[in-house]
Amino acid sequence: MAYRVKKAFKNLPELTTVVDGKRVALNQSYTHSTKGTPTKPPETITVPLATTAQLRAIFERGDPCVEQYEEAKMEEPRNLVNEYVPKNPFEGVPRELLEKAQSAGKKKPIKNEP
Amino acid sequence: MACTLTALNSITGCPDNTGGLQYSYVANLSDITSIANTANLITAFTMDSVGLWKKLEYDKNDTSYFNQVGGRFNDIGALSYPQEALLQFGGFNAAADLIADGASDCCQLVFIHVLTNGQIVVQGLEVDAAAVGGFTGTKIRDTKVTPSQNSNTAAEEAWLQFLVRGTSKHVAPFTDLTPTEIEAL
Repeated sequence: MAYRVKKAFKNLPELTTVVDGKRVALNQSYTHSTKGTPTKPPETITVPLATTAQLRAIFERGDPCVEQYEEAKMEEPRNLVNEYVPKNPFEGVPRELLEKAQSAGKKKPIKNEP
Repeated sequence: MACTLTALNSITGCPDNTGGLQYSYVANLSDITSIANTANLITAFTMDSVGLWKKLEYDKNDTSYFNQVGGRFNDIGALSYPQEALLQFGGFNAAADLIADGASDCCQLVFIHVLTNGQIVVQGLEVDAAAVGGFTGTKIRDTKVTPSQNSNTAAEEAWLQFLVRGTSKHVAPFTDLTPTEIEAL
């Protein structure tokens, strides 16, 4: 099983939470700059993207932002060249019809009409 | 919640019953994306961005409080909890003016109050599993700030007060997030 942010919350590029005391971004890593105040200097914060284990922890604590899903299994690519077997395009057509078509083609060649 | 009665005893065990608040954090309700909770205890917040909780460090002079006095309409009707907090900051100046104006323009606020006894309570938010994100603002009346700025007399102190009021359907939830975790959000 894998974990991901629900579609409804994908539009928040700076979606952030704290997991095991660490600040993490859920949609993408980003850098955030804060303005300084009289008591606090300006700050630039880099928020890393949550790891799979952190996403799992967020899901398991019951956060509605994250969902569990089953990863689609990749099929092994088939070697179509080796599998190709040319088939007779006239297979199944009665022999009489084939002969009739052949003879008709000889007697009446197609002409370009004026 | 279904009718549930639980034995309660504050005589033995001596719970910390010190009143008052130490400091608070405030954010816009709209900046909170989701919460995780267990039995009305919020275990996590997910925010729209980082640094949206602002710390409020007010005077420790026995004035700050957070109260929620339940009341029933016509004594036995619908129950609601008018929540009220008072936060008093010393000083009377232009900077305080701007802070007061800015806070008063916010329509739906959420406060996290760190109580003197170490418990941390959340005002302005109700846990609601059916809502997007697992929460709503106070359901009956939005939580807003009413600032007051008093110079008072020379024998007194000049201050800016935030009176924070809203009305909820349920008692305010607590959180087990530590102040360090809240500041990391």
